[in-house]
Amino acid sequence: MSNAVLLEVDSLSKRFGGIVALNNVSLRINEGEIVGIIGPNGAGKTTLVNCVTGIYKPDSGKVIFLGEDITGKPPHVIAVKGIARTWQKIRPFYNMSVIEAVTAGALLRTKDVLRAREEATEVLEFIGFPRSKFEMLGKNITLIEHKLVDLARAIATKPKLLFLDEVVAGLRPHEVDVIADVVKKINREMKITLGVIEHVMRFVMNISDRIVVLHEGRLLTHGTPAEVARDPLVVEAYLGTKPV
Amino acid sequence: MTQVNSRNIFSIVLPSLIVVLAGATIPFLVGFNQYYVLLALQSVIMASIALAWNIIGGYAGQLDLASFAYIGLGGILATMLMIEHNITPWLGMFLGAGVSAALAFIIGFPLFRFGIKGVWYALSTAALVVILHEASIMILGPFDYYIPFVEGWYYIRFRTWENLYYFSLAVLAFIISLNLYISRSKLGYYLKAIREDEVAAEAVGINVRKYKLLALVIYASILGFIGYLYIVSQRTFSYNTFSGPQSVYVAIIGIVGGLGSVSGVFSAALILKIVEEYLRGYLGGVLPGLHLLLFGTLLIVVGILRPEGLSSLTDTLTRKIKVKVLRWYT
Amino acid sequence: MLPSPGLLFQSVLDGIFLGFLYSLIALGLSLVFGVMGIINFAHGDFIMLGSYLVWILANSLRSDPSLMSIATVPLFFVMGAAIYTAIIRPVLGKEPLIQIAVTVGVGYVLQNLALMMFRAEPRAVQTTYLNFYLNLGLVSVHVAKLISALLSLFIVLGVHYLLTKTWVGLAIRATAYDREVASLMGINVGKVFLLVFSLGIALTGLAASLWMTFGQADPYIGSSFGLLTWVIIALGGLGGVSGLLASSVIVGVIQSLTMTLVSPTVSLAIPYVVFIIVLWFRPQGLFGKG
Repeated sequence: MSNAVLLEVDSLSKRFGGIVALNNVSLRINEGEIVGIIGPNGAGKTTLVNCVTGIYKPDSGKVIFLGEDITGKPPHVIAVKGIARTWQKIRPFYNMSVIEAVTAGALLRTKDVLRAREEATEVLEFIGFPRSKFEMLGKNITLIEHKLVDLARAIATKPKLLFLDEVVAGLRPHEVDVIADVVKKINREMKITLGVIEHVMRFVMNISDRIVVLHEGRLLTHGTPAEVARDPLVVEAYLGTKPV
Repeated sequence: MTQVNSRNIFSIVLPSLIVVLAGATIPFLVGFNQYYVLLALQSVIMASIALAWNIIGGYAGQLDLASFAYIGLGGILATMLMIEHNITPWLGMFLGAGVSAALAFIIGFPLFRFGIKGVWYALSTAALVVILHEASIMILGPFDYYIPFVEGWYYIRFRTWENLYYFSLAVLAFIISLNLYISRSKLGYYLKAIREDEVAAEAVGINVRKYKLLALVIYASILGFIGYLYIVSQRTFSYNTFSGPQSVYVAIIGIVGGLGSVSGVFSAALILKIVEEYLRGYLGGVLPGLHLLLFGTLLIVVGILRPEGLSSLTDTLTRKIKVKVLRWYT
Repeated sequence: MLPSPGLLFQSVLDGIFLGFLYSLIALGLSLVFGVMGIINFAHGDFIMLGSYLVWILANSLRSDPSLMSIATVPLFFVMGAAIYTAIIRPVLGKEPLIQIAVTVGVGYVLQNLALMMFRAEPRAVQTTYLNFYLNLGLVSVHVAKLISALLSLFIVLGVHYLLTKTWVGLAIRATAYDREVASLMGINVGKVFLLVFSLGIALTGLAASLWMTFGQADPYIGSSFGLLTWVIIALGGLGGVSGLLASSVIVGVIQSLTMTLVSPTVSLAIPYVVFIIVLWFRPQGLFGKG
């Protein structure tokens, strides 16, 4: 039952001026898992993902993916290596249609545009996006539709590891459940490993195999959802007081 | 599968074919009146320039204000080669394309490498035109150069304007097809993604710098190529060929037509050229530059009220025509 | 063929004076860019507009151009407010290319308006009282340029004082830093934008009156000033007043020296070559904070 280590983050640090966003963070993500990454605001969750995916260059430490050192490589190279992500602040392709946006993702692995478009169609259908809305422009779709398209666009690049950055932020409870089902499906059927940054506890505790807790740029603790939920350190980090 | 492929070739080649056929009738329709044939020639050349701009501006989303830097460089090179060394523009135009492409690469490589975009990119391109403008004053002197009268296909220059017009029409057809081809190709998807959101584009594996540079070089090559045609249609060249205001004019056509819309940009080029000619003809003596004033205002209005420009109109029209043609075909 | 040290020194001095005037122009632009994130491509063309206005007023009233600032500054402030409301505010949320394109359009309109009304010949004011030289041994100081430089410096420092020591200035800086947070703290961001843009345009009105005490107006000085200002901002970054002043003076001196040592033509092109080089190697400018 030992799964291969997909991603290894080794003593990663990143500061912005006077603020230390990441302070010697180390963690591992194994193949096939869904790892939840939680922590109060400012804990460094998004900075971590940005460092792994090449948007920031870490000040020190290493990022090793499938045994290869990818520290500081630019985002498009990271995507080719097999890491994809979705966006906390949505980044739609406003003037492209849904199918065009996802095709742009599929073109990473498939040179032929027609075949890429077919793949894009398959991905969109897999995550349950209504076919009738394929031609709608990015500027005209709803928030939950954006999230689905964002997911599809990322998955179309056929990643081995996918980071979801607060994917259910701003969604209504039943929409959260829709995303939860889709995410589980992606993990199981497409064999994509997931790192899920989240604030919405219900969602992340539900889908994660393991949880990693960050606080003020440091790794606080990690374990199963049940373990983490009971951990007094975690409660204190979120509430600022020791539990009674 | 093959059926869909042939439909693609159909939709890439057919529009240019229609433009060529329709355009070819114009000299006959105006009874070979040289004033109108020249006007048609200049409109076709302007449309070609604007559609080249569409690749860097419409698809890649970069506000490039240096079109006449490339047109001037390639065109003056080809023209001088013809005048001084009797080298045929059939060769000269390709050399012009090469030189302009090289300039674009020299400028673009560092600019994109350092992530320069938005207004700094626009300013850099504006600065490029000024630099070439001043440099050409030093090299060419403050004189107007007239193209000596030579005739024949060797020089692509004739006693009347029709032959040059047909040639330019063919070039326009190529550029239209190129635009349509790019639009449906991987390059087109990638450029549009870059235009929409560079960060998101990079995250799906798009090498933003490489593709921007590619778009820039393609655009500059086309302009370097047709530079000679432009100069011949203007009958003179000088340091003023490197014109900043004219470069802005090209961008205006590209935006008013609608970023990325081939039909929109094509229509805008024709319409604006005709309006310009009308205003210049009737009010030119009294109010020079009125048409430019109008176009500047148009750009402001379009930007505020209707950023998609003419494209919503022309795209709907072309779709209706496409449907009718397909129905007739099947 | 090297010019005399006196001539060189003269050139440098002229360049410094010119540089201070440039800093006044660059200040308006940098404020607008820093606070609103909007790139006013037409900034230089407002100076051109102001120059013609000053030319008309000064000639008809037979008075010194710098006095015309009494009229141009308030007028330009109001005009700035109008342009902000009608043209800038509607495009604030739109994509950057459209924003830039709209200001390009404004510049184009102004340029061609001037071309239509005044044709291309340069116009100068006849009745400037300060158009004489003060002979100080080695150098002659052109009094008009000296006064313009001093006034510009005074205003630039004044605006700096406004920004750093007053409540209004604090509001402006807060908005520049983070407009969401600023509005959450009760600052009316829309009013700040309006104020800053109008101030930026008013400064061009002032710069125009100062310019006309020794310069000329033609439809294309807008492009020159505009691009030069951007060179200054590229060099100086958006850091602070000292960077702005330093890079303005550097640009002024480079231009002046090139004009004296090489030729006027090259002096027009050199700043842009410098611009492109600076953009390549130091996108944050020579003094900026990266």
